[in-house]
Amino acid sequence: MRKRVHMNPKNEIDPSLHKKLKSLQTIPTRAPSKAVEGRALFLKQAEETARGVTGTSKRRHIGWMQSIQSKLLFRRKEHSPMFSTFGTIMLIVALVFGGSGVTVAAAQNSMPDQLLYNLKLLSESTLLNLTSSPESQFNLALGFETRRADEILTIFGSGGVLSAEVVTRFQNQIDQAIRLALNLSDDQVPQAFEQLQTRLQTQQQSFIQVQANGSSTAEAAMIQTREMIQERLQILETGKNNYLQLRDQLQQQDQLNNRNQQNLSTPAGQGSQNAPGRGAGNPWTSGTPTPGSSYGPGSGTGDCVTCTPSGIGQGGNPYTTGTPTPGSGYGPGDQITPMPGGQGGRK
Amino acid sequence: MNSPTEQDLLKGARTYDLTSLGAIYDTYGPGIYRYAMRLLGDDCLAEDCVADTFERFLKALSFNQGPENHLQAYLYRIAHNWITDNYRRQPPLAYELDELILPSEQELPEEEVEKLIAMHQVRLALRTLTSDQRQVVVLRFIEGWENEEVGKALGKPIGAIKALQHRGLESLRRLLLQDEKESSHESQK
Repeated sequence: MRKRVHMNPKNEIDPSLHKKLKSLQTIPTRAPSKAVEGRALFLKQAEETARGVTGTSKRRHIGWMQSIQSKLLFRRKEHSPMFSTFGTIMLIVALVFGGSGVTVAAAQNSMPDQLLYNLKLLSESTLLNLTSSPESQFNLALGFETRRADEILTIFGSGGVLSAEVVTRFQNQIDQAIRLALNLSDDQVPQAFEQLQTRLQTQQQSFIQVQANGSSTAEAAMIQTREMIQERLQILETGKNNYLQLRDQLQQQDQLNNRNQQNLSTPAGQGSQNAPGRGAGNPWTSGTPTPGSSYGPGSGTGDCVTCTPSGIGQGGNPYTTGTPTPGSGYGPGDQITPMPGGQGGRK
Repeated sequence: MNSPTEQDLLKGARTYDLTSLGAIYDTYGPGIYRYAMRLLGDDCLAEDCVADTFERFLKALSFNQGPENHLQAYLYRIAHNWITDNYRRQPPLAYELDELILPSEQELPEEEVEKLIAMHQVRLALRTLTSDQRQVVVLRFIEGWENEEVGKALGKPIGAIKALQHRGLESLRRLLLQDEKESSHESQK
């Protein structure tokens, strides 16, 4: 069958080595019965294959693939090995991602002092980022806020000490929920505030009922948490009727934060011109501000950085009755005579 | 005339014509058996190799794949891959002299044993080569193929085949002839 031109391979190989290799040429003859059996088996397999895949069904099964392959892809010599490789890759991918899914699911019950807690926060953040509708975002934030509250309750309940980080995280979660509520349509905002308010009140009650472990640190943390919730409840109460002002305040604060970030990145010598007393006012806190921390009396333009603002600046915090500190913007408002720097004062 | 006949056989095989398939088996089956037997040294394994080689060929046809030409090279490549897999799966087989040594009128039993040991040594040496080197050496120097045909079986150009051959022979020479040289040196001393 095959035309073979024999070239003397001895010219290419050491004769001794060739002799050794030639020893393999002598092999026992194949048993004729086995040869016949093998042939019969092969033909039987061929018949079965032909029956299983007729010309028509073969075209139906793989004809479309061949047409695409012939146009777009190179022709593969073997099919099964490729499928085997592909199957292996798919299996690995499934195991890796399946494993990650299990880990993320396990992380959902983790506590702040546990290893998987950061994964829990990451999954929450990812979920929130992937959600586009404002309603869904608010609902998610509400759910996450409840999680933070439950975590605090669990820590208190187990006699643990609440770290500042946990309180701050809870506070940020509430603030995020308020911000997302303000992203809702105007008619939905009061309802969302009401919802959040009810939830915070329930949590406040729970925090009052739960007993701390008696240490001064634990007591201080609990008091701080309750005060923080109380502040938010006041914001929500006022915001229900006047959420437009709250929204404006937040926008101004965001703008100022952005500007501060830009100034921070300004080269030395071109520093910020913002002085204390120019901030948009922080609606979230009643604490003492530090200079330059944007707790100013709103959009005042006065240069007096040391004087106490008494005008009701637009950016002033309307949610507190506490004594204002210099540049804090927490003035009681309703002053007839605007003081220097209080551009927003009523005339 | 070889190529058209092979084409005819392949054409028939694609339509599952049993005559063509039978002819393919008759033509290439014995050679593949010998090839497997030489490398594996076991008739059962060699039979398995032949059966699997032709089964894979059928499977390729069922997916409308398989060779367009060079059927022999294609079948030997399948067989060679099977043998390489077998090498990976299991260690070299031990001797079973009672089965391997057949009564012979021409040779004495000790000569038979010596021959078997020599064959075993060559097989062990071949196992140490890379898959490609082994295939080149066996096809060239045991099966007697030309470089061009070996190139088709491996899907490589002749230059690459020559390089593989050179490296393979060099390794074999070191493995198989070193002992002889050392023993001859010792006897001279």
